[in-house]
Amino acid sequence: MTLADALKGQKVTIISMNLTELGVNRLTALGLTPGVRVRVVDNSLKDASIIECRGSRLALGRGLARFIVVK
Amino acid sequence: MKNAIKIALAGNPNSGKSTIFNRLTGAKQTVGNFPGVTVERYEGRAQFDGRSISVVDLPGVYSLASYSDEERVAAEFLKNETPDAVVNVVDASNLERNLYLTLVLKEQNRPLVVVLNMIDVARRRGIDVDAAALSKELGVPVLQTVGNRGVGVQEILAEVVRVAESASNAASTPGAASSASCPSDAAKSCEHCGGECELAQTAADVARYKEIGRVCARCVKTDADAPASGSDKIDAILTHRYFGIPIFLAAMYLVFQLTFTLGSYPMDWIDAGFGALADWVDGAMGEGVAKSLIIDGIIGGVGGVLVFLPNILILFLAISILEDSGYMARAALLCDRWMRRVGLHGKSVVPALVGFGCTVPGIMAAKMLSDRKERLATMFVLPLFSCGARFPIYALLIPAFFPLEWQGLVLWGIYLIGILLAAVVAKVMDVVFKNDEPAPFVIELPSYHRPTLGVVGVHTLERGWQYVKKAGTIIFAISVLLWALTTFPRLDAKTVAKFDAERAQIEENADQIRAEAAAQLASPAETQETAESTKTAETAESTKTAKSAETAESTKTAETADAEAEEAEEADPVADALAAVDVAEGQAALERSYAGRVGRALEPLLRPMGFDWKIGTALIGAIAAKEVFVAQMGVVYSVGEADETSEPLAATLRANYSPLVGFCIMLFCLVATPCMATFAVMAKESGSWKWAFAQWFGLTAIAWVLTTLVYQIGQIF
Repeated sequence: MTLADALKGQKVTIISMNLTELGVNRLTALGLTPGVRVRVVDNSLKDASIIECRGSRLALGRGLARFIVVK
Repeated sequence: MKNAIKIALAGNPNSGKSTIFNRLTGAKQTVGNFPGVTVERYEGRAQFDGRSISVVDLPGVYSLASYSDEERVAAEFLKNETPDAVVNVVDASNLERNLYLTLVLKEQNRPLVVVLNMIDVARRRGIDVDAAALSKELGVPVLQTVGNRGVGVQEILAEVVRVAESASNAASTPGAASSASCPSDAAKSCEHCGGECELAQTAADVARYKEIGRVCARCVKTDADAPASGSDKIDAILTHRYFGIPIFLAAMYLVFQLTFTLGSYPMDWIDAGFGALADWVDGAMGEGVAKSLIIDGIIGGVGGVLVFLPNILILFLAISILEDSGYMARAALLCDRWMRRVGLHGKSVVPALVGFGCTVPGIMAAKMLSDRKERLATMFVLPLFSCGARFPIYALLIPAFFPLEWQGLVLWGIYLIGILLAAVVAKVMDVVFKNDEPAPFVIELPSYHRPTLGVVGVHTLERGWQYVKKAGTIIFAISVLLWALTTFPRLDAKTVAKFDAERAQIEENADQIRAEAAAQLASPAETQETAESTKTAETAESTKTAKSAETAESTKTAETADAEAEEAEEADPVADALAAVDVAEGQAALERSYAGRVGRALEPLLRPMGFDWKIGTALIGAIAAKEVFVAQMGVVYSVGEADETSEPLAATLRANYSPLVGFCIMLFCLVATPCMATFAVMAKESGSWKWAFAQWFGLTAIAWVLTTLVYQIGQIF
């Protein structure tokens, strides 16, 4: 499944990020890498997912979250 | 030993870097721009042990990979300006993510000092960082501070001096300088490119996070039982799917209310101060061009702009507080959905909101957008968010033309038209300059915390000072230029003599005039009729002097009618008649001036919108600064010192124009001719004059088409 499908409060692990180089590099600098554990804070907003990762809280657009494969 | 040391402060956004910077340098700061980009460069000085330490506050970045202007600037600074030491401010409550930049900085081979900031916040969340162990693992000195209480700041200076000096000593010993470790050896494992390609980049990142994981495992103890940060609960409300937007709008409403209600007091003082200054000059100087230049040109022009300083300060203070508290990131998140529909970014909402105060800082605030296309589109539509300087125009025209129960609606409508138009223009730009790859939307939502007064205050004052500098330079020059345009060439001696003769005649026939006025007062219906017929007569008139005289009369009638409504006995018809001659003289002078001639020349363009040359002249004034329109209308109708509360001016306008024309003026002022300061700052921030010209002419063209449509269609009804 993708990050966009994860439920509120769920803890998931990032498998891969199928994004452009720009997207991957941005997310990497913010701490999102394959293998990292992510807590989904809120996924009820229409266009964004709020997650917590490596101690910081991030908001990701749906366009990004849909291409991040998690389990 | 060096006496002058240069250090750079680096760190993630929201790591408390600015607080440390303020603590280190106190009030001795300068703000500039990094060359070529619009990233602000804060620089300050600190003294320690007889050494002068210059401190540069690098922009807050997550990496040095040059994906945004901020990152490029920080990377180039470290490479080209070779600071003697780098102080890396790290948020102790968020160590894992922050250490990524630390490792990147370490690879720069500059002497590095890590400052563990916000240890109090970390402890409260049950995170305990062992600074000594961290120092051992990283191989660099690690200090602990609580930035907003100033703990440990002196120690930073001591450590920086020590590190910088031992590095410079080591550098003099051949071979010792390059001993700094490079943990990203993985980057060099790509044999094809030696660490440049995408594959190597990812490999390097994986290696860095592996290293971070190792370091954190040894230095960080997390107490699982500690109370969770309140952010979860607050976010559940503030970023709520349905409540989020209404809360945001309410917060903004509060900010604007504060801006205008609190701001009105100091505004009155400033206004009174400039008024007193003008009166003093008026008394101290003899009549002449120099006096007119100082009072009408300089004091009037600069004063009219400085009067908005309190608004700007309060607005910026409020925005700084919202930013520093962590709420602004949430606002950007909430608005992203709507902004994205027109090709903008969630963060565009911040410059847009600032733009309601003043377009100039709004354009400056657009630098927070890292994508160039989104930034340009945001800056381009920014003048459509009706700024504070346009408010006096509405405040003059709305009560002049619309009944009380309509006034709020009209004002609301004008603002709404601006916002809708901004959306349309942004959308068109989005389609024309199709973004092949929209910037990914990802922002950090920093933990909520109480804003630090020091940082908020310093930034607010700095922005205020920039505005004052603008008023002192560009606006000063333009005020003088516009004054010259409206003053020269002056009336010839013959015309002046003619007006003097008229005045003499009025004084001679004073009794007769009083008798006539008394007769008019007895039949107010007739007065109305006179006003009507005067107006129709005026449009039919062709000769210059005759027309001036007629307008003067209509002004007089309007004024009389007005005075009548209040206190009939206070009006002195002789004084009125004399004032009317002054009005006529003022108008004749203005019509002869360059501004008047330009207004006349532009009449073919103005007519379709329902404007005459007088409005045209005032619109030329509005090119300098929007609020000049009001003062300029005052000059055109010579009702003396005019501001938006000036009742005689409103009455005169009512007598001369229809509500439709009033609305068209507001519409045109809203959309057309961004002010000179906007033009200048647009050129600077977009990096080219081309954009400034495109914006100016583009918006003016849109305004013309729109206003013409409204006027022509409005005429039918």
